[in-house]
Amino acid sequence: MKTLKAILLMTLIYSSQAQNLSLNEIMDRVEKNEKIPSSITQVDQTIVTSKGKSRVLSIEGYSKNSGDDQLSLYTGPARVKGDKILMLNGGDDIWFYTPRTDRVRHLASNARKQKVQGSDFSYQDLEQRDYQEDFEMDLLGSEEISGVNHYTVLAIPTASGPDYAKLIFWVNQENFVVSKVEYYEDALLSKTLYASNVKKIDDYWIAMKLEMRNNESGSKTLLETREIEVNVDLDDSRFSTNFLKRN
Amino acid sequence: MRNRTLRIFALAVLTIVSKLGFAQGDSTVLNKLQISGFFENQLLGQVQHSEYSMTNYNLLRLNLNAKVDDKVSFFGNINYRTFHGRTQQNVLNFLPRRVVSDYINELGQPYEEVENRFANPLNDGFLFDNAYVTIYANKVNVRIGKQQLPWGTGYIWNPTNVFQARNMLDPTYELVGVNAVKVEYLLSNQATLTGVMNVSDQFENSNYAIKLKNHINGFDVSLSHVYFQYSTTDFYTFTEFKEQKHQIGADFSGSIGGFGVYGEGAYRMDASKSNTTDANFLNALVGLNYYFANGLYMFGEYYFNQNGKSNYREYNINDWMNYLGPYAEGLGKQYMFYGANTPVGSYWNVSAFVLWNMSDGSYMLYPRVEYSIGNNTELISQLFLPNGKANTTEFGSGGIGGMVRVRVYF
Repeated sequence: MKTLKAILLMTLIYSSQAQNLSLNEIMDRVEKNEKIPSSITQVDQTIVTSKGKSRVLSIEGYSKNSGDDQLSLYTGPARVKGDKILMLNGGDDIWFYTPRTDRVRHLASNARKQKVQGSDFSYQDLEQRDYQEDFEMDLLGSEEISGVNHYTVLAIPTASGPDYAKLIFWVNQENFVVSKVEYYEDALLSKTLYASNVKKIDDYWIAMKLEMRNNESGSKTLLETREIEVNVDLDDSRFSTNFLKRN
Repeated sequence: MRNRTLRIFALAVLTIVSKLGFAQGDSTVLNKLQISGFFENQLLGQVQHSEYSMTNYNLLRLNLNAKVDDKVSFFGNINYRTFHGRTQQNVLNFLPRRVVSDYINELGQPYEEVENRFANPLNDGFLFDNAYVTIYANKVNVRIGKQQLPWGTGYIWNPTNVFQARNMLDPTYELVGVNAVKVEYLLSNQATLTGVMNVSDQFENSNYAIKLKNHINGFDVSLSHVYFQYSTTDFYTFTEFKEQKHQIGADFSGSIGGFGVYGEGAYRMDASKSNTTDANFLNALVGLNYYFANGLYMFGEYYFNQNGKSNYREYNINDWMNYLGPYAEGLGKQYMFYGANTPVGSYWNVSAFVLWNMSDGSYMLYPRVEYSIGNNTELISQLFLPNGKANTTEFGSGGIGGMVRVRVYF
């Protein structure tokens, strides 16, 4: 009974807090969840075609400087094993390494729009966002998803933001996790991201499952985090082009 | 030589395995030693001088990868290849008839006698692409053994790379390794000073290179100096010439206005007194690429080779043979390359490439389709559609062809 009361009280506190938050405060709380100082993740990436065929890739992810620097190491299947993607300065610089040719390629800045390893995520979708800087935002209102109230936020990308016409975020009012994102190219809804299986790891609410649905092709890609360690000590040298060639 | 390499490789594997066993106990040896690789089958068909022929090969590549400890790793692969179909090939059959007839006339020998010197049989056998040990110390990485040395930012050509040349019609294929010692000194996270020694028969005949690479204002930039032995053959006298050359090189890659831009240049200077070939010359390229929102990727390269010929009438047997040799600098003085690539669905990739020899006006169009059959299986098919003045120009002399390659990774 005491527990039930505590939950009700917490819910009331959350609700009252939520109603009084400004848009900037909401997005600050979102960033607080997303900007994990450093982390190591084990992720399965499942690409499902419009015909229902699927492929699974395994990724070891390293992140530092609150997600501004990211290293993805493909650990399977054999076809892509050893491929590495290094994103620095919030995705401003991207390098791709493949052991097949032992070559590090510096990708052009507009390569951010490209699919990552044939998935429905582009490089820019995986960049860590600085919401205040990357978007001009407008709070549209609130909407219920799966029984939970969400803020709906319209975001128009600025010059530093992703290359979309607009995005709409659904922010969970209880844990400030972005549960859904719609990506628009011109007036067309091109992709929709769904975040689920939210867990609290240390002080961060983290969606362990991300599903990107491509509304144009009918394909979808799932990113499922199997393991995650946060606030780990990672050497800067790991986030360098020198490291990419290391076996 | 091959047997000696095999023995060295086997010894290296045994050393690593024994070290693993000694350090970790026998039960963990297999956990440390990772085995991977691929099987590949390629069928190539072409029409050359109105004659149709096919060549087929099977290639089994076994990769052995061992991370001995935090400081030492080993990587090697054994390739075994069997050839089928037209395995008795002769280089003269692939050259323009005008060049061959001029050559035979000048040589004054019967064609049958000369032909034997250009035989290029495709023999079954083992091949090493890589076999090296890498040692990581604080700020220094040392890689010793046969390894790929992919210098430069160019897609088709790499003027700064004197160690390896790409196949212009299949530039993303793995390159055969070079026996070398490579030392990298990490000046910072993005800056590296690299030294390479490519061992030859004598100390003074070996190749030496040094490269400084950095990341400045969003650009990857490198400066390099190479001291190397430039080998050419005079096929009129069947004499090999070896000259020591200095090469000053630079390359860059980055973005301007959303476009990917890259470039590479190398100036070669005669370091010896023999002065038997064009002593000093410049090789350079600039490239541009752009990714469209719909997934289409377009790119192009302009390549200038000062040592090339500006007119196809100047091509002779030496130019062709050196072109087919290790440096693959090109026959003509100027080239353009265009490429377009787009994913179709999740598993298909369609590309079209054009390689244009601006000096003789001929070009090669080669569309390519890649299909991911399964998680670890890929199928590539490519057509070769040459065009240009027949029997004289670079691509006008080539035959129409097609290639199908299937590769299964494990």
